[in-house]
Amino acid sequence: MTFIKTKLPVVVTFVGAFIIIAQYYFDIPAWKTLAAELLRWNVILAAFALALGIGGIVKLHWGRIARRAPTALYSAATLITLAFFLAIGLAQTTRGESYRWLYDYIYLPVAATSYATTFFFITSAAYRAFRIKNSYAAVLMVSAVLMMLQIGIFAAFLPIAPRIAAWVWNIPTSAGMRAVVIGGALSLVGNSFRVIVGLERGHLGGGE
Amino acid sequence: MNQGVTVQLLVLATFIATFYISANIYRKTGEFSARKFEGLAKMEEAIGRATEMGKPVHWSYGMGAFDAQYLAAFVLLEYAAGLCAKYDTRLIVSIALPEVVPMTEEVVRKAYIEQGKVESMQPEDVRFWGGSHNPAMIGTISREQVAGNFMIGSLFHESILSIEAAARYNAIQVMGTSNTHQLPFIAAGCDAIFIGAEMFAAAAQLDATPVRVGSVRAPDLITSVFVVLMVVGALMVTMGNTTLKTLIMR
Repeated sequence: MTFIKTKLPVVVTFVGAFIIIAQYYFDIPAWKTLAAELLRWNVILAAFALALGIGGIVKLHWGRIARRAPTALYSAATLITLAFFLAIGLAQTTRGESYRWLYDYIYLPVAATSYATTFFFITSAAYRAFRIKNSYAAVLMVSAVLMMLQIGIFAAFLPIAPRIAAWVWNIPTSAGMRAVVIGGALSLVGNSFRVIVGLERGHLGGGE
Repeated sequence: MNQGVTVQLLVLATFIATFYISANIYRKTGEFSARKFEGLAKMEEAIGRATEMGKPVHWSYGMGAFDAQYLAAFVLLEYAAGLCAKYDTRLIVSIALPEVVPMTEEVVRKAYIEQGKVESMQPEDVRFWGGSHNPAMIGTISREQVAGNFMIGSLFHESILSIEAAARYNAIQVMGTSNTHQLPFIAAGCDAIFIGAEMFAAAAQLDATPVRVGSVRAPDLITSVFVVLMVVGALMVTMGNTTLKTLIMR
């Protein structure tokens, strides 16, 4: 059991990662085909994981209904919707007319509404961020004002503003962002390497 | 060999060699120092405050695809879960990707086992939300009125939703990501942040093992070489010499 839970995932990770990485560097057609196939398997594995996730959702909401929690009604709605979508999807596949209708006219508007709330959250976030509490917030405020001055009526009254904004964007911002990207990318390589060769097994419930 | 990847392969080989050498040096000397990360102190403060208030803390990885940022997040989650187990404080984890659920359960369970509190772990607090992660996360934060809000991983616009939802309850917030498009938002809204590589370095600071120290020192050394190469390359190109540029593009 320990082998299946801790050692086998490390072996599978190493072999899979080796094939994917090697085909990036070396021009071996057979490996490229194998790598493409492995990437397709990734979708199948994610589907298995999705089943686990659905199990978790059912367990959570069923528990709430069973103990008659104040949100039991919402939990019941979630489970009924889940079962309904699942039944229609299994009967017609995701390309079926009823499934498409449910997706296009129920799910998408709800998802778009949820996404649209970001506007209000960004507004309140901007208000909190632009209150000058310290020197960092002051720099942020000045940079934001400079960026805003480059658009619309401000640019007409202050022709130099777009040039200042472009300088802020191209020089200090790019320099800072590239430093973060290079440092972050190399650290990502380090972390991935630890996992690929099995030196880090925290996500499998083990240590190093 | 494929075109244009020779130098990349060389960098990878150098990286791996540096990694092992750094890990071995640490194994022999035991010397490692990194500056204190405010994010770790704020995490402890948030969990301590949540304990005093009798409220939970909330954790999310964001909605980005599974990448190495999640691996750094697992280490920090283990730290947060360990503190929550120690102080008997609820930790609610919101998850968008199904494949992360079993890994998260293992990480949280391991933290509770290490604190000898496995019976206190509530498996239903590791919650998979899938595509409805964002509204579910906002709902969870609002209903539970969390005292601490942590978000580490591949973050997108959901970080703003999380920050603003938790700010209504004056939660202490710590976030971290390598996604540069979200850094200004989390820097503006959070009490402490981990910027890019800091997430990985923080993991080494928590538990300085040879492997973790190696994976912090190797990127540092390679970055230093890159900085020198960038300065030399910029000077050479300015003077009309593209030898270094051509060499790197091979």
